[in-house]
Amino acid sequence: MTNPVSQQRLAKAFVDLAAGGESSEPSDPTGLLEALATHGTALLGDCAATVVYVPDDHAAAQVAATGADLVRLARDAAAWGEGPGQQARRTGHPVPDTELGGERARRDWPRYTPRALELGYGRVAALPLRVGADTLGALVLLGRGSAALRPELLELGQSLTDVAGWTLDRERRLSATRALADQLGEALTSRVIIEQAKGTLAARLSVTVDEAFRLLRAHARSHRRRLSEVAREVVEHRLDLRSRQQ
Amino acid sequence: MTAGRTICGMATEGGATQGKISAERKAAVARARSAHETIRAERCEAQAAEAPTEALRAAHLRMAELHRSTAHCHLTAARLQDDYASRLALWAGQRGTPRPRFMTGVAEACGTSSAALTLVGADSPDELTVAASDESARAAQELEFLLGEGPARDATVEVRPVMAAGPGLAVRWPGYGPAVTELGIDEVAAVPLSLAGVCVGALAVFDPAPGFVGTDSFTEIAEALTRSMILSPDGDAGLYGAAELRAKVHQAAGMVSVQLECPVADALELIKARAFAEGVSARSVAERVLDGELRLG
Repeated sequence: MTNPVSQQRLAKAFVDLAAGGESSEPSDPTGLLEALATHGTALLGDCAATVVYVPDDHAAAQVAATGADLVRLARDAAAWGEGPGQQARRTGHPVPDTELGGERARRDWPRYTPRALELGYGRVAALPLRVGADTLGALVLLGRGSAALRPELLELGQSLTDVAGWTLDRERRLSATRALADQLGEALTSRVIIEQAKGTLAARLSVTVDEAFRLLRAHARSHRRRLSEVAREVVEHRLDLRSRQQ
Repeated sequence: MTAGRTICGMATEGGATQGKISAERKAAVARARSAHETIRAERCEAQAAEAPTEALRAAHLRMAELHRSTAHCHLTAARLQDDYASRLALWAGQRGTPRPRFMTGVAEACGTSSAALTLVGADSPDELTVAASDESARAAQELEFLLGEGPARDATVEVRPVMAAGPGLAVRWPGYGPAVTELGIDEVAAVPLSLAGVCVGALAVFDPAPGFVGTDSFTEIAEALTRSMILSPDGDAGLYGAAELRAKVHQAAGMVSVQLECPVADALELIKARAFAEGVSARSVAERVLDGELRLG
């Protein structure tokens, strides 16, 4: 049946997951999701794996899977808001091994179930992808045939998903920090340019620095422009307030 | 050299209380973050203990280690805030003494009385603000600003710790080295303020305690400041009003750029060169320019 999971393979999976997939941008989770789907599939024996990730309520669902059919299935499931992955994401709890030919699957996932059966899968389970305190997606494991998905596999799948979720969470925090750093840099640069503009204007119009600042502010306000933009144009000699004083 | 903008003002009950409340709140936030990171570390450790395979166990332990180190860093931040709060409390009872500086506590945590924190913009290693613990640090940082070379700038650009001492100072920085030695400083070191792959400045220390440079404490203090004060939504990149923007210097640069019809960056360099040649601060040259007493060029 299922090969025992190779330690080496597993170690590589974690390295890839921690690196955010093979070639992804720092804040682009696509690579990570693909790594999760690929490693899920490779590690979990006869299973196929799909991943769904919805970063927030306003964002489109991101999916990853091995094979075009599965990608399509995962994408449709996300669009329908139906299927084991959606259920695990919504509830935050795992969907235990379920027989796709059974009553429950047909009842709970009327559109998902026939499609999965058509692709040759007989069993399904889903594991929540927890990112920080939120559940933002799921790893779905699909088994061929009718034999139940073994508990060890689900346990391993959950661990793999937890590592991916931890990495996504970390990436989310890092993005927030980078955004703060950008804001800080811009704010400081703007303040310096505003001081330079005060001096520029004071010399050009032979007024005091305070009067120059008043003129800058008045111009920005009456033209509904940001003070820092007006200041930059003054410093770069692209704006001469002499002719446009109001 | 004359001082830049310093926080003078007489000790007033109100000012001290407000600052103290702010520092205590920041300490509480840092402690809560530390506790949160510890819980996350414990969760990872529990997952490691139950991990079905060795590779998984190692992955969870690595994650736990990161959380532990972040927890520790938040604790360092809390201690710095506590220290500042108690300095303010003490000051409130002593009329007429200068207001304590946040950087004084930072310097002491580094085993010295002289430390300076500089912040830079996104696209240039030029220092935009500076906060210093004392006049010695302030004077050293002024030299770096005037000469455009020195430990803080190198740590920011190279994003790694930098240190030099004795004759090594002049070897590394031909202008800054001899000048800082003349101030009576024998050793300088700086670490980048870097988080999430972004470097926003540097923490520099002057004549630190023997053996301090190269320890984890130095980088940890820098990280604690970055996390709690500089890159935190509820932080204070102005370091309780101590970070100086050199407003007058930039105003004067604007003025000189019109007088000499040159780019403002060139005007700023002229002011710096004049200040270094005269052995005064950029601010004192700037004040003379602004008062119409001095025309450069």
